[in-house]
Amino acid sequence: MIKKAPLFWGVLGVLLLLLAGQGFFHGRQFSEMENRVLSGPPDISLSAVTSDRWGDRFESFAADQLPFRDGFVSLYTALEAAEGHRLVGGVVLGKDGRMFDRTDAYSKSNVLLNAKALETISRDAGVPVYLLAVPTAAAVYPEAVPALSPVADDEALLNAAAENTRLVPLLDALREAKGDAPLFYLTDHHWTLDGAYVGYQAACEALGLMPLPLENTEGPLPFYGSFYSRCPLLWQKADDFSWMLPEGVRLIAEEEEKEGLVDREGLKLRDRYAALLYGNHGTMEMINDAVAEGTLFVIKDSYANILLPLLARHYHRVVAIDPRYFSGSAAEAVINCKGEAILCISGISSLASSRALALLD
Amino acid sequence: MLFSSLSFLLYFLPPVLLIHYFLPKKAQNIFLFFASLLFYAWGDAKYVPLFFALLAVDWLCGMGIEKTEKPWGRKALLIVGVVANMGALALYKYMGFFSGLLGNSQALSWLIVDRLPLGISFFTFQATGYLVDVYRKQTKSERNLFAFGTFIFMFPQLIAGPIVRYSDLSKALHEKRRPGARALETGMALFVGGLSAKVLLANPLGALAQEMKPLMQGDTLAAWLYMLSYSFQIYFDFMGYSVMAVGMGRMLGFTFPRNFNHPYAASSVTDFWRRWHMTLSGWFRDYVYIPLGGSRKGTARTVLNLFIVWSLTGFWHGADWNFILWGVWYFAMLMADKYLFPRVKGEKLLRRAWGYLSIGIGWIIFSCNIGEILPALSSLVSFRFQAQTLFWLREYALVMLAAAACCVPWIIEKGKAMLLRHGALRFITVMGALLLCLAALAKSTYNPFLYFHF
Repeated sequence: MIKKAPLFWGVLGVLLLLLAGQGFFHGRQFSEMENRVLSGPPDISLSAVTSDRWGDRFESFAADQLPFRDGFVSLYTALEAAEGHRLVGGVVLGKDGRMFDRTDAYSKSNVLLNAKALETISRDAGVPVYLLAVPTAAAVYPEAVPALSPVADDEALLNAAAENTRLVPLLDALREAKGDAPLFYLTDHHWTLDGAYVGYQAACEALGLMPLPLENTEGPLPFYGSFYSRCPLLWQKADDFSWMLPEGVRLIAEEEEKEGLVDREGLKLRDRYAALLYGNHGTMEMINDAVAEGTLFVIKDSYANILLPLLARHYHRVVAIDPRYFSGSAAEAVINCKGEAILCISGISSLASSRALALLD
Repeated sequence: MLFSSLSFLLYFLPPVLLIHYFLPKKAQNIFLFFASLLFYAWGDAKYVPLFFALLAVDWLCGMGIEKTEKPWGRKALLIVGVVANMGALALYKYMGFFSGLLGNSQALSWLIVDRLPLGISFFTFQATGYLVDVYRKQTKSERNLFAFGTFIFMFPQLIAGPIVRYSDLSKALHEKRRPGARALETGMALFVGGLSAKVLLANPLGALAQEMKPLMQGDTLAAWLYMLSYSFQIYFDFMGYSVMAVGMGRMLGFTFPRNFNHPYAASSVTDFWRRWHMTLSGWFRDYVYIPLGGSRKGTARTVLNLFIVWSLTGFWHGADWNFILWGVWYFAMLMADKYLFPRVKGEKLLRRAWGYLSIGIGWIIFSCNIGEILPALSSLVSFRFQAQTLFWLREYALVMLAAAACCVPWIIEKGKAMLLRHGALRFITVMGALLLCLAALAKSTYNPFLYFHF
């Protein structure tokens, strides 16, 4: 019978093998690629089964626990690229293996509101504020972006920010610094240590500091970032991931002292960037006992995580809040820590796509 | 449960096909009945009582109509059955619309459901057709409850048709169904083919349509891209489901009627409706148009009958004004095709071109809210262009070419013939398509959580 109907039995065989595979291996709880908890088997009690959304829950389980799930996703991503798509999983596929974020939904009004909020915090705290807005890789490497791609006009967004607050000039410096070493990862939205160093120099100029060279760098490790997790192309080359650890700087995150500035266990995972400063925290503090005084108050997102160790060499304390996780008054926090200036280090991405700063108390 | 879901593909279909294949004759209908009940309940178990209520009414009315000799008694039972089916449809599908007409009356609001019972538009029509056929003595009633339940609710055609007549299935319902190797091979190839149409063509083109919809106001290229991509999406989506149903029917030992016959190769709008959703057109012809008098009562009455049929066809597709307008639009286009074009020179070419335009405009009416329709249609001829739209044209050019190729009968028939001749090629093609479909389904639920995005 199998010989006479090979197709019928072949398809049925594949489906039954996947079903058996799911029966045996449905214990995968977390997808590192997706950075989320996967669905487990749904409840099969009578009340659960007769509830409205049980079918949806079962489908989530069947999909999340599909054997070879990551392989299937890579296969379809390859098909999409082969079909000529330049936008796969919300990622624009650029030249030379460079990936970019789709940013056409970025909003100028968000930038205006966030920048205005910074000025309010500055006025209430009585100290100056500087905005180090990190542009997108597409603005720094426009030659690698496919024509007419759905990417935002960073210059217009940065100009909007400059209307309402003191913007640290950075885009031109990044464009001028372009060389062999990438300033942004190919596979991640963040900037590299080299890119962050350009940002560090720009911040030093605004804050009146003398920039120091990079020292005590570690790496590189191969790295596949957030773009890759959204668009896992089989032939995508890895990034080099390096970071800097200044001597004598301690990290206290959410009132807990950490062992060093980087999570050594986190470095073994796919998203190595999340290991820097142990990820994002509502409040954190870096203390440098080698410097006697001076406190910098930082309002940050994750773009700051690779840059702050460089700045920490100039201050006794760098106190930072992340507006997405911080609840309380930012101005009061500045006053309480006796911050002498406020530096906001934020990707244009978060400034233009959320109102996290504007929503700060 | 949808055919293009992993729950269906892994947990439902393989065991059902295997168990059904090896069961003895007496148990096959009982098994298929309960499998269909499970399929139905999987989506929304709260509608199981409706399933049983309609089943009981239709089954009893069918037998009653046959047994009753008095004409008024037969008619009364027919009315009870039809009112039960159409009442269920009106209650679950149209109550929101009617409530809106009455200014969202509080009295009706508690009757409005948030999710339609699975396949209600199809099984109520199928059951109504059955009752009318029994009333007209065109078919015998079905006495076996499980065989009847299988006919009305059989899972392959439950959610998207085809709408099957009882006479098409009655023989298969009463014999041992052990499909041969050829039926199994053809059935599985059709199933995977339909799945591919849905997952590899309809879904990506649906994504393009979704991108174009907000851009088309004020951009002619975006409006045309929307019209094209939505036309392809709805065809491959609906045709995909129908072909999957036909394929599963084959593997279960049934022969379902064909629902689509290369509709986008139609030579006119009239020809399009001979090829699109053929079982629905047949239903309206047999159970609405002909009882109204068809074309036997003069031109004016024919036109009125067609107007009623097309308004109802539109309303059947959705409970909103745009669907009614869509039906009326086709009424107007069909009238032009019937009465206007034969008097014009170069009729053949004109009818084809007019047909394509009518179909495309029809899909805009079908897919937009009533307020969006005119701006969208005016965008088609506004000759205003945004350069960014060229990105999307380039992005989906290959997929659209592939979709267009799949609408050409010559290509499809040649491809089918080639696959029929070469077993190895057939095996590799179908297995490859299956893997790509599974990959697409995995990707569609692949959902990186980017809290670390910024």
